[in-house]
Amino acid sequence: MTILNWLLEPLHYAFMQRGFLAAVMVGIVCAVVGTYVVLRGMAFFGDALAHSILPGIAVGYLVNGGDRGALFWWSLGTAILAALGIGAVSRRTQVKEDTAIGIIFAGAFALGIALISTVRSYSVDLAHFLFGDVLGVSTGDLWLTGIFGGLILLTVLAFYEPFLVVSFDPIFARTIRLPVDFFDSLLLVLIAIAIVVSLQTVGVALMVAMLITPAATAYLLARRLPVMMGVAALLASLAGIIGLYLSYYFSVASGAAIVLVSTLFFGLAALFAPRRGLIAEWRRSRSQTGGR
Amino acid sequence: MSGRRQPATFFTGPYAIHRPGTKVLAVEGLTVRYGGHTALEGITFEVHRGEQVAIVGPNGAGKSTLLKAIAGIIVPAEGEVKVYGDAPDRHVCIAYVPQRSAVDWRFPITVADVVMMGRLRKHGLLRRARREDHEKVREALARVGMEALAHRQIGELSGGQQQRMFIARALAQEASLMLMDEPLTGLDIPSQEQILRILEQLREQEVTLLLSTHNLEHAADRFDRVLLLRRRLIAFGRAEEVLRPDLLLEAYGGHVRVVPMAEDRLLTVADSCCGHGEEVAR
Repeated sequence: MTILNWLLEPLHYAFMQRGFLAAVMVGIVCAVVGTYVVLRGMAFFGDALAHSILPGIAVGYLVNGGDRGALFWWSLGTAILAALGIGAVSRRTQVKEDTAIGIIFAGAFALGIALISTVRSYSVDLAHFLFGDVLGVSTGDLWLTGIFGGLILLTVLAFYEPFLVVSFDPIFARTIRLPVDFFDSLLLVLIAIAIVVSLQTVGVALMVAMLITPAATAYLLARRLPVMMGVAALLASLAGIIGLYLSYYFSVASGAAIVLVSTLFFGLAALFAPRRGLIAEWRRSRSQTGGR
Repeated sequence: MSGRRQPATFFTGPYAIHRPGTKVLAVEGLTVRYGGHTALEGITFEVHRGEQVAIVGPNGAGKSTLLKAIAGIIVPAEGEVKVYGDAPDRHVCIAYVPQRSAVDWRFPITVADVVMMGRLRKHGLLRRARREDHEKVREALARVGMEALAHRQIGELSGGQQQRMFIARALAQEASLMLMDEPLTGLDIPSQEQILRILEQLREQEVTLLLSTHNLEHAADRFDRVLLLRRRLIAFGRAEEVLRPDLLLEAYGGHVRVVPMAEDRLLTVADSCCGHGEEVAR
């Protein structure tokens, strides 16, 4: 009874209900898209992309003030531009790809901070953009998250096989004449949109964790891609819910709490996963060397 | 359009029709450059339907580049490749089997998933696999002797099994031109023999095969014709015409020793730069 009360109490508040809903939706969308981020080794790209949105947010913030709806569209525009821009830069550059991405994203991030710092309530607003505020999600935000998140999931589902082929074996994809560049760009755009719908929940700084941690945990547990996506979505939802309870009862920042729970899940999987866990690996190597 | 292609849409892509009376493969004056480096120069040859051709030459001779140019993955600087009379990138009948190092074997997919990729163009980008596709996948796996491994994660396969899985994908694709980049390299002898036997069966379907290899003995014994390559085409023809001391010396340069042996037999030993020994006893 007391446990039930403990679980139900936060739900009496509308802002907590919205928070739970947002955390779960964002968790699922990021986890599914993040599956490709992990499999294609794009973690750094995801991190860079999230940070590169800041100048767009800043401009929107300076132009429209605190209007959340307007900020969403500013973020979305910047994110898609940045995704395709970084994609283009990494294809043709004189310096190494990760160096080029690093330069652009740090520069863009600095520009964002510089712009926001011209406003008086600078530190509060900056903290909000950097770390998110899932408990401040409005009903309008939820609708945007639901619609765009749904579009992302539908696209991933509709193009399941082409995305799989392009990610696993791009040369084969070219020989069966798939439009490889189109699907690569589409994936970048999907990642960009996933980041924008998640901004409110975890902010720019912790975004990469939403993309990669649940997916990487699922990678340790699953043998097939659909299972990996499902497990990642489930773990991300769980992390969102548990994180919010922790945030409510222990007054921990919500975004940080969600990411910490996710990280804990990964740690457990890294140790105990049946095939790819450290313990399984240790037992395999012992049974091989120890012999009879 | 001229009517020799099916209507192309973005998601089906252009399909070239195999015009009767055209060569399976005609390469003319093919030159490929990477930056300032010329990888292939003035390559000209033709291949007949159902023929099996071995491509040999030292490391860096351009074997992989030639296969990729024929597959339509890289664009030639000069000259042209025609498959059934059309540019290769208009075809979906070309199967390119990559070197095993080209993919991530930890990817979470099963053997059947990979072979099903060969059906993607048959059932369409937005449609799910049908019963016919599953049937073809099962048939392809049976033909390479891997039915029992269909649901293994690909990382659990041995090298020979990995290579046979790719062959099954090409079979599921119902390709009429198969290009294989060093499929035998790094495999043990039984695995090599198993794959060579599978390739032998391709003759029944009249699948045309081009395969690059370091093993001159395989090239001599198992293939209809041998193409000796070192940036330029050194020789192309039956093994006894191509694997001659003078031509091998030209292809492998200082890395070849020609030792005369009894009864008119000739032992040729070549070291390529990366330690693969190549030898042929005739």
